[in-house]
Amino acid sequence: MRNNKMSDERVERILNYLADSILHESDESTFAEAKEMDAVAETSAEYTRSKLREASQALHGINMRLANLGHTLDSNWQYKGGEYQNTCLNCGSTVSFKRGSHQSQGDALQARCSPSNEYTTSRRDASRK
Amino acid sequence: MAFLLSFIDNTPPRQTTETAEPYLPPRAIAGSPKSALLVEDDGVLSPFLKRRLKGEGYSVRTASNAEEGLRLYRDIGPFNVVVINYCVPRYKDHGIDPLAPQTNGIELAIAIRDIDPTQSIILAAFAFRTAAEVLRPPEVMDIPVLLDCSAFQLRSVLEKVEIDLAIKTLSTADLTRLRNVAILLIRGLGRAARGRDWEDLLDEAQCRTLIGAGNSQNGRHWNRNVPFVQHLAGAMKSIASLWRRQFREYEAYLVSELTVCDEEGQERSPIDSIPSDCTPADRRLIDKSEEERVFALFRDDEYARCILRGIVDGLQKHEIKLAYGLDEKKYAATMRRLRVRLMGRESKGQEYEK
Repeated sequence: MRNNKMSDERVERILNYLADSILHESDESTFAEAKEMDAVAETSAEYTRSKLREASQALHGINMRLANLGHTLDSNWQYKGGEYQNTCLNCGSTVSFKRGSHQSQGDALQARCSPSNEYTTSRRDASRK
Repeated sequence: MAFLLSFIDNTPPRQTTETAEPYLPPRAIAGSPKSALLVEDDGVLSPFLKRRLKGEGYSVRTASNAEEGLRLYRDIGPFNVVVINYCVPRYKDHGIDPLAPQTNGIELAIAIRDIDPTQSIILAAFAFRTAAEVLRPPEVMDIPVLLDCSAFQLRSVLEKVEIDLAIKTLSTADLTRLRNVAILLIRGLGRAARGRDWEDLLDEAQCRTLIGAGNSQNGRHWNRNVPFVQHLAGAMKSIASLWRRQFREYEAYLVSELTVCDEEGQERSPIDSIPSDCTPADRRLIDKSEEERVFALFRDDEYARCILRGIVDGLQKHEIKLAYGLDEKKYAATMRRLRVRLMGRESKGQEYEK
């Protein structure tokens, strides 16, 4: 097992070195390599961009959905068993968010938070102060 | 929509969606790396939001009505972000009719998008309970709505805006680099990938970046001084490393669970007792280390093996070149062969697994 671990570390070193070298390649060289791998740079680039956007939109969607239900979450998402989990600071209901499929579930998505949400400052409340 | 913009739109737009120009970076204000324009009329909310934005590292310019907001935008825009109150009055000293539909904030957002289609905008709609209640035409449906001014909500929306902008402005070359890094790392994981592909690795890196927006302990905070592509590549490297460690622990657990002691106290695996004429393929895969397989790929490429040995020994580029007598051209060509072969090894006849 120890040999495996050492071997792993060496492979990791090789891959990290090669990954870093990709970042330092010129644009022309990067496109040429993509072509060698039978990839059309523009098409695969837009696909990659869409993948990045999907993750961003999914998490933002959950945050907004929870906010609409009056829940107050901090950014303390915990990664457990392949999914991110969080808890409403007021009512304690939970929400989880799966990587990859971006599926979300939990009590927090089913019901509104308690109305005594002291962390939320609505426009009217703020105006009264 | 043009008639709605008549109150402010007297000068020709600097840029339209039909004639998209290269992305113009936001202008810094007073030496701060991030700038914001806040269009808010409320005497309490405006300084409150300004403080919050400053707390997030923005230098803030404020306007109390749509006309002033657009003038400021034309004069000193673009900004990293523009925060517009949905119910902002059109002109100075003009009130709003709370019973009439509010269009000034939306019109201002559209006018700004006409000037710069890439401008990040946030609509502050604190009088509403849900984003669905905030009526918007389709062209501005992508604009995030801020329903309360808690620090978390504001930070969450700002982070999304900044990350969205970073994604939007990634070049084709940068996106290709990201894809290549993800493919290389996932292929390098071999069995430790456990069925995950390069998209999973990229998705995980992006999720951790979003999670890490406010909490670097559970995610991966993006330091804005580092280019986004470099940040994501770094995130992918550490995730790949984590997956490798987890796989080793999982494998060690399985071995310990499977191993039993016989009557003589000898440790044996139940797999050993399965009769077989030859070593099973999966056993061969386990025995053969990942490292051996990487080197085996380049058994006929002496320069590639030299570079691999140099990397394993922890040498830097110039040391590798010096140690193995490689000039720049030879080094670059060999590195390219290494990358292409390792990235493409599974797609070209599964040669890596042989």
